[in-house]
Amino acid sequence: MSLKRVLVVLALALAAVSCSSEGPAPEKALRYRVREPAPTLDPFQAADDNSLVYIYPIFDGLVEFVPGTVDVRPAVAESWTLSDDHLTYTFKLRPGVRFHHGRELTADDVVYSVRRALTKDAKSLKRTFFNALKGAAEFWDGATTELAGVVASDPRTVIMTLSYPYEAFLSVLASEAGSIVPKEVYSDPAGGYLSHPVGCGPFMFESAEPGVSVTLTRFAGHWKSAPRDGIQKILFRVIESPSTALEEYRAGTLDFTQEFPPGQRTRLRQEMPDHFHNWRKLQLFYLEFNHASGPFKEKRLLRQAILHAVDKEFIVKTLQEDKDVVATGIIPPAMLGHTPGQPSARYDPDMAADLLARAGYPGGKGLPEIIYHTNDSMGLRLLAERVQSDLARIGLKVSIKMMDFGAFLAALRTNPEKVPALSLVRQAFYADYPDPDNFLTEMLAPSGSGNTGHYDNPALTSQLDAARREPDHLKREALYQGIEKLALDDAAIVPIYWMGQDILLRPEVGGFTGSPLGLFGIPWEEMSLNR
Amino acid sequence: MRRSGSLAGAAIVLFAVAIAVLSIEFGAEPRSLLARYVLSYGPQEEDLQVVAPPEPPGPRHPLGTDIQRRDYLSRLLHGAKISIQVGLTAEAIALFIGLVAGALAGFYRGWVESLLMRTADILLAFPLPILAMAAIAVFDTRSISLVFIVLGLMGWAGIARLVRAQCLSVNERGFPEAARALGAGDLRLIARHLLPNTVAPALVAGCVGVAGNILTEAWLSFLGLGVQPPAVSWGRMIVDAQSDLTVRPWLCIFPGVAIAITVMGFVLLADGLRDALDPRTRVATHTT
Repeated sequence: MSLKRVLVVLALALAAVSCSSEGPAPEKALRYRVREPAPTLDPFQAADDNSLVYIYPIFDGLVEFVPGTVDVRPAVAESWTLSDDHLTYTFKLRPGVRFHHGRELTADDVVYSVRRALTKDAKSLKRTFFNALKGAAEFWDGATTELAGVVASDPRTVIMTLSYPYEAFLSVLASEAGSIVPKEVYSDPAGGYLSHPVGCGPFMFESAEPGVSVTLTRFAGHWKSAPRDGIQKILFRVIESPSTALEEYRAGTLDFTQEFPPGQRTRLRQEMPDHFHNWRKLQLFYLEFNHASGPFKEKRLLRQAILHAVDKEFIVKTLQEDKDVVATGIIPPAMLGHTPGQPSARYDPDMAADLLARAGYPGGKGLPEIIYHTNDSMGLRLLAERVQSDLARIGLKVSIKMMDFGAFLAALRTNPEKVPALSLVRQAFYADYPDPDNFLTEMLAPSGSGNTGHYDNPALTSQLDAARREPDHLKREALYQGIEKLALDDAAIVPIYWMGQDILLRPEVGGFTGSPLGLFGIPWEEMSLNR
Repeated sequence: MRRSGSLAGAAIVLFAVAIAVLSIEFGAEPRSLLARYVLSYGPQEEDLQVVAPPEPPGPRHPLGTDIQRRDYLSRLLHGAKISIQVGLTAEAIALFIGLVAGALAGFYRGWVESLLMRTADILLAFPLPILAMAAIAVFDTRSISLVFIVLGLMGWAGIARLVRAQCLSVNERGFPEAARALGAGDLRLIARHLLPNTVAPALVAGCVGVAGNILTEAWLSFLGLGVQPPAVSWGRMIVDAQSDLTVRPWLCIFPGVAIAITVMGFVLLADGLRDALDPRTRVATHTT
């Protein structure tokens, strides 16, 4: 631990020293600040939004998200049909689509890519994305080498079959899990694709200096025609410190930066109104209870008291400077199933005190200290103190623990009995693909990767299973609204805010649209740069 | 001039210690004397009427409020407690160990001296803040008492060396030998003859040490390793305000000035003590 901390300090110092400016920018190159190097450039191994920022421009799938929305439109597939039983998709591929290394893409590449996303040995993390695909589980487990759900019926036709109707399947294909990769490159056992990815997206990998920068260059053979003055290159530069990045942006050596030092937002907004953009993402910041044992598991009224005691309004308005939106529920606006203004999540300290008394802890008496776990950053520390004093107001004692957050999360996930029962954890979840199935299942179902707090509500889990298989859009929406209400009434988590995204982008860059998915959904290939 | 400096130092130290004592919280609903009788707000108390925190200094809050709507004057005064507590407790531990180790080394010489002084050398070679960070990481706790203890256990080496040197010189002066001839044992020799003659320089060093400890606590808090919220300390106040420096400078300036003045107070006091306790300067003062 101490070594890690020392290394981090050293790295920060090095980053601060080594971030000299890069000299004159190449014509039509977008200079983009990233906080850290991408953990991976393999679309199937990526499980963090940081890697996706690099991956989205390199890879295309059969379909893609319409910029600025969560709707899906044709990409490598020029059209598709869905059978009446909502189980069989038939995709017709666009003619003349080429990979970056020149070869034409065929239906076999699509089949290979889905198989790869379901190959354990390829370290794929996209297994759950394809739950609905016929035969996916058997193929993943190695019970069979045939993946029944994906077939190339001719070089330009791919047929995908589901084992139950799944409305979000096209969203899955539009995400990084649907990336199409060339077989001959990605079956290379030496793994050259890891350092030199090859896809068929609008930008191709040009070079990388490990830990320092990555350069993508426009792929002339892409099926979409480039706009006038289109961006020719994207230069990703790793600059760890938000303050350094901001200084570089001010000095004109960056075209794009995100994440500002706390307390600076309002000022930047006034200072550079033409540069400042903010939009809302499908991302929730929340507090998670340790549901594994103890009072948090047993006393719903205690969880409810905490849910109503936290002043979300103050957090968003004062601490977050209105970057984010108060979470009045779990499902974010713009996602299927969102209900505006759920009363079950509102801030009401009097009601909280009353609930606490009904839980058997009047004025907090009889309940040991709650431990609030968070990683350490200026903003998160202020937020932790806010929660601490909000809960103190109803009589609950909270101590804040900031050390070794990663190790703590791992322990909570695997050995919940080894962490304090009265643990409250700060958490955030972003939609892998814009569907409440992904959002709620990962966060609240026992199998969910985001459910580190071991929340287990059989009624809710079975409703999630039913909603997943519901073919009718409106019925499905109603189901998710019901599930959200159930989770809030049970105080499964404490939603705080739906996250917004702030960026600074030079006005010379035209045609910008923010993406609800996050930074990685920005359609750089459709934007222009007039320099 | 010199004298007025040390008087000012003593006044500052007295004032800081008084504030620290008055800000000790007690009672069923813990509140300090300061919060009960002097200030309108406790250090954790939020003024819900503040609409746009942090509020700049004004009639309602003489030093403004922090971003969590708490009165900054109250926090600043209550912050004195941690600084003084850390400074004095850690130095008391260091002084005690330093005096004992230095006296033993200076009296017995031989392997006792080698052992103690080499240990002191090793400790002096370690950068203290890094050691404190390591201890906090190893014990996986950010309790402030750990900081006291670590600073105390690590801070005795300088004092021990000073005391040992002093003992060596006292030993040469003959009267310890006379005492031994009269049948005094080791313990009596050390306690009655050696130590009284070394306390003065050790006290001076201790005073400077207090100032150093106050700075180290601020530094550790600045790195997020010092006191934990809701406790308040000056270092913590500065770290919470750091990104606001250009926009709301007063949030950093007030605790910064408080640290500077208190540290200066202890250093001036040390200066004065040295002048008062050193026989040579005393003689010099009398003759001029």
